Amino acid sequence: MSSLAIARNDLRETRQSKILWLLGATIMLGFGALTYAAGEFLSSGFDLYLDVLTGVFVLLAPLIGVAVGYKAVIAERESGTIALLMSLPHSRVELVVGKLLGRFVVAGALLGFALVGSGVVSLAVYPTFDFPGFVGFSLLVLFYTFTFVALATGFSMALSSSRRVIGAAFGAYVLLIMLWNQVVDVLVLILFRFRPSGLADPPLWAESAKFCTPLTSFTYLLDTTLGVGPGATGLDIGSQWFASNWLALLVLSAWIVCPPALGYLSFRSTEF
Amino acid sequence: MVWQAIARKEVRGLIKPRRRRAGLALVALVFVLGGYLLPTTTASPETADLAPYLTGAVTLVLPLFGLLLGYKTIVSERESGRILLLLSLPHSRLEAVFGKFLGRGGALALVVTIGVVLASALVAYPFGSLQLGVMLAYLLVTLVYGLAFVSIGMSLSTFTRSGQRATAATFGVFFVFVVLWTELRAPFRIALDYLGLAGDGLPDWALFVYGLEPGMCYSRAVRAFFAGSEQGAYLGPDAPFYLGEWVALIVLLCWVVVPVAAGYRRFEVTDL
Repeated sequence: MSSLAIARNDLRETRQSKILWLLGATIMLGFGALTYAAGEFLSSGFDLYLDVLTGVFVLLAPLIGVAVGYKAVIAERESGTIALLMSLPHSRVELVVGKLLGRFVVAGALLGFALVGSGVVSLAVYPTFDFPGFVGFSLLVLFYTFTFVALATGFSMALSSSRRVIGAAFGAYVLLIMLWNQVVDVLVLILFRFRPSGLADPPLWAESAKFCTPLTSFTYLLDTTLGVGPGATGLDIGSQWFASNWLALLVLSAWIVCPPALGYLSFRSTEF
Repeated sequence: MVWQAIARKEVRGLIKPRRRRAGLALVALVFVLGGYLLPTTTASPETADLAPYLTGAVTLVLPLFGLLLGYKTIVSERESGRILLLLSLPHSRLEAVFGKFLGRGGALALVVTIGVVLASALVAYPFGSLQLGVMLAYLLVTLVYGLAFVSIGMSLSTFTRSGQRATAATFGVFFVFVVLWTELRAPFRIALDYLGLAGDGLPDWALFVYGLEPGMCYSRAVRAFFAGSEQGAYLGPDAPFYLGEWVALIVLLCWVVVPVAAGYRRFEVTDL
């Protein structure tokens, strides 16, 4: 129960932040405007609009997740309030779970502003508005965002200064969102001694590694369930064993569970 | 089992300081680099190709690091007076020498094992194939060769009184065995010719004496076991058995046991 109390406390503090409310309002208005503009100038159907929206969320949602998550534990540690918190009868697991829940809610709320903003406007703009499709899309986006909240919170537990946490969390963002496929390709190229055969016909482990990021699993799921977005980018999905919805969901869940768990393992025995 | 405590302390002293760790890692790196570069020279490499490919580098690096690991063990403790402390504890001199040899040799064996395993993996993937038995045999021969130089270094350390002399002797051994030995063949023959013991080539017994040097034994074993060579004065069809690869292996084993044992015999009866 005390993790709920910690989450509630975390949210109470967050709710008082004017900047976050301002940010939420800006995001809502921005996405409403984006939707309106897309409807006016890009024209055509709702599916195309979701493609555009996917392109935006792929980059923006993880950024929001990281920005929301990275302070979770380290801020308490650096300000010293964690000693007060731990002097109450909370265990460290409860602290970590509570903080994670609180951050999920904050990130979910920010994303919710964006989704509501674009949903309401597209209801007016697009005659072909597909409500169940949009709800599915929203759930997947939230799921995707949570992976990065969890990642940043994991770093927030494991590392000892906020500078390091920021470096690690944003480094992970850049690596996973922008560079991952290239990194895997370079690794393949090095292992294949710079012969082109490695990239022309990539080995299975390289394809699995490319699939295992939150980004690729997310776009793959969007493509197979809703027919939206670019699909698994940089990957030639054929009959590989990993190409299934369940496995993509599993990958996303693992990204939510593992980083905080690993972070906790190191947090469990740190001194403040 | 006191020697275990001494060995553990040695290993810790080798692994803790960053510079020593980096030095040890360099040994593994030589193997890894060889394993990486080998497939660029042949189309479908096998594990056995690794051994002759690496001989040149190994016969330079392992003597160097083996001697460096061994030559200060006893003499530095003796110079600083720590050996009195060490022996005032319930260790016998035998346990001190044996434990130190095992610790130092074990550290070298560990990095060589890591290097050989990684190198074989790099040879096997993606173009070649892995023969586990061949890899183990190569690892064993190479370990014996490396340990021989740890043993030589330690014996120098027990035979000398000052660190300076040990350094000079180590440098001398390295120079004679690694740099000079291949050049010594012609002078050796000329000297024997002068004495009326040799004609155009060296007689078999002289070849045996000349081939006792660890590097000669090692490269002979590698050529016979892994390159399948049956040529030359040592491995040719009419060479006597005592010039062959098995005897070379036994000589190598003697190089591991004899120097450190002789050093211990001397150390046992010296006044400190």
